[in-house]
Amino acid sequence: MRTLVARLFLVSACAALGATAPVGCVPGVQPGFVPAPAPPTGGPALVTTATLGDAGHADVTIAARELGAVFGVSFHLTASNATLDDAATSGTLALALNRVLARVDDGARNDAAFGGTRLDPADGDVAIDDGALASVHLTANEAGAIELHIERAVVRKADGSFVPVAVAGGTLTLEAAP
Amino acid sequence: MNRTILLTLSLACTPAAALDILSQDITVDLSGDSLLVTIDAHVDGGGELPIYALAAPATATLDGAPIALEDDSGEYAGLVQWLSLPEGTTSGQTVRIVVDGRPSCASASRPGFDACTFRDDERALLPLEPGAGWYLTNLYGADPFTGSVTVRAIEGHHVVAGQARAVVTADGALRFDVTVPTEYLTVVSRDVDVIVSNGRASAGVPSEEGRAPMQRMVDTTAAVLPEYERMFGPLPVDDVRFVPLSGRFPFGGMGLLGTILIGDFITFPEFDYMIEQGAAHELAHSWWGGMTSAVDPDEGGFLQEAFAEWSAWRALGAAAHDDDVRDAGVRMNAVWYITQMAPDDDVAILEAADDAEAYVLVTYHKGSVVLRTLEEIVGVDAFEAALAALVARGPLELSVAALEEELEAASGLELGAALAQWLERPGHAELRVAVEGRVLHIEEHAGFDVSVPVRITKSDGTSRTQAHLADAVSLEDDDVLVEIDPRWTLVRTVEPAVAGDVSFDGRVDALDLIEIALRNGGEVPTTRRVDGSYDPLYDLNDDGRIDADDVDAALP
Repeated sequence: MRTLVARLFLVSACAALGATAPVGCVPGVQPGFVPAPAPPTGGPALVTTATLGDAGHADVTIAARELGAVFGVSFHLTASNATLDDAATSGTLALALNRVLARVDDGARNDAAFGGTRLDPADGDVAIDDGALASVHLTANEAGAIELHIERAVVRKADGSFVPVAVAGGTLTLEAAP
Repeated sequence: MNRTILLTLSLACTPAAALDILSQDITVDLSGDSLLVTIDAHVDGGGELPIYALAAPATATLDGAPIALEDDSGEYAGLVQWLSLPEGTTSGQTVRIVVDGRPSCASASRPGFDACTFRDDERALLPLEPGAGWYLTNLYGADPFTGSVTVRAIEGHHVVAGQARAVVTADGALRFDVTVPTEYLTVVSRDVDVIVSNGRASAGVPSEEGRAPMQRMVDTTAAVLPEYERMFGPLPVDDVRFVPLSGRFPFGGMGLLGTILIGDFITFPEFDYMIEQGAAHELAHSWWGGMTSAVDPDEGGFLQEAFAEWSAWRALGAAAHDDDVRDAGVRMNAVWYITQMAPDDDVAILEAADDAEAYVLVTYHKGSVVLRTLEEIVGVDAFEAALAALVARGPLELSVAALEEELEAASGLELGAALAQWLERPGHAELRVAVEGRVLHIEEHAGFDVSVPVRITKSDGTSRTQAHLADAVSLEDDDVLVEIDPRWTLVRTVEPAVAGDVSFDGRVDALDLIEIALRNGGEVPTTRRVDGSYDPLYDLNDDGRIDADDVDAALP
């Protein structure tokens, strides 16, 4: 979040330049990321953060909160009006689970799948620490708002049961890609 | 219950006159060095009656006058004897057969197996054994009778015979009445301890190691008997007797009405998996083969064995209050058929009686799942009502036509086509699932007309099942997991359009990895009736085992 705050400061500076705005600034648009209302505290959740990069670019991170011990976790990040690439799972996830997956679907390339699983139910569940689980790079298709959603989030236990998990995406506002 | 021999002989015989064995009161003396059996039978009709050859030398009389009892001199020498009954023989006359001698007990029809045992620690006479007969059998065709079996045994032996609980006669023998018409009788006398349950079951204990398995059979009976009686009606005998046998018989278990013969070897540790399911299956034969039985032996395999197998898993699941118990048994049967039946050797269920290779796979395993399919079509209440009506028809009244009549009466549905496709043609359903957006298309590619239950689960674990889906399934936005026929109501395979998409959302994602990993360890069993927890959907590399390799195979 510190990165985001710093970036917002730079955006404000950009806007203050007025008529002498540098290339890439779009008058009237405040680049930034507004997270969706945070899920209620005290339960398993997946939340989204974003770091703005060069014009039209951002890095999106999905983090775990209070997932607890799990057998596997799966979720998708979808982005409207943007293209995703460089999907990756975090070291935290890879260390906890035996197999992990991060891929951007072919086609529109606005849906990235993440997650992983332990391999044997007999081994039981493993604790997932709070923190980043996955990341993906985003490129805006055009200037404006990009809706980020965590979809089809599934958390399973080794006994096959499901752990209800709250999710929070957000709205990312970017300048047009160069 | 195997009627192959009876069938073969029946085909070779042409009845000279209608003969009907009405009753037999049989006295068996097992206490001496020789077997002494006296059969007092009442028969309606005269002529030459072919019977299974008796276990020892025998003489025959009709109301005290000698009548001929001769060995077959042709193809069935040693297997069949011919009893000459004068024309006009009536039920008011008594046919007496006296068998006296020490039986060899080597099976005349199955080399290497026993047809009876006659040792100091165990003496056992079985049903329908050519060359070891001890009561009259009418080889012109099925001919059930009533009567009694009175037994004198070696002191200290536990004795089981007939159907009813023993009554001590004035001279100290044990009389077991046979009140439900049958052709299947046994008498076993053995030096064993007996477990008596608090309910309605008892069991002989073949060895100290066998005590716990036999106790589990008794406990299983206590659990499933109320379920059977709820579904099919009361068992018309006092109690259920599990009878261990040490001989080399060609079966692990044989269920007669109220009496279940169990090979001692079933209590060995390597057959531990058989205890509960074996007890439940054989007990079900008290209805399917006991209370009612097939009129046409060609249909008997399906109507008795498949029905007993369906009943066993239905009752085991209900008694455990756990659908998973039942579903595992149904899946085990479906998977064993699918993985073991070579397509080129496959036959229709109703043609399996003549094909020894396919008989077990098609009759027990596919057949019992086909009954599950019919249950799913008509609903469990209608299905059970139909089965109860079939039982009420009585011995030799069971047929596929009767099944169709009772199912249609109970459900109001036309079922001729469904029965025909499952009973009269080989193979199984092959389902392929394609995904377009949020719509699934389920297509059957083997020519079966099926309706498929689909379970759809949301990310919080809540699920709903949509039954009788024949084509498209529309998913809601928050649906995450689709399971096609999750309870195995069909003999079928399921194939996703995208390899590895076992959750059927049109793409391979981590949920698919989880689904496969949750089945890790499932494998095609190498032994019949062992549950390998195997579902071919999750065996992506098709090596007969679900493991990490299959998870890796799903990774993009």
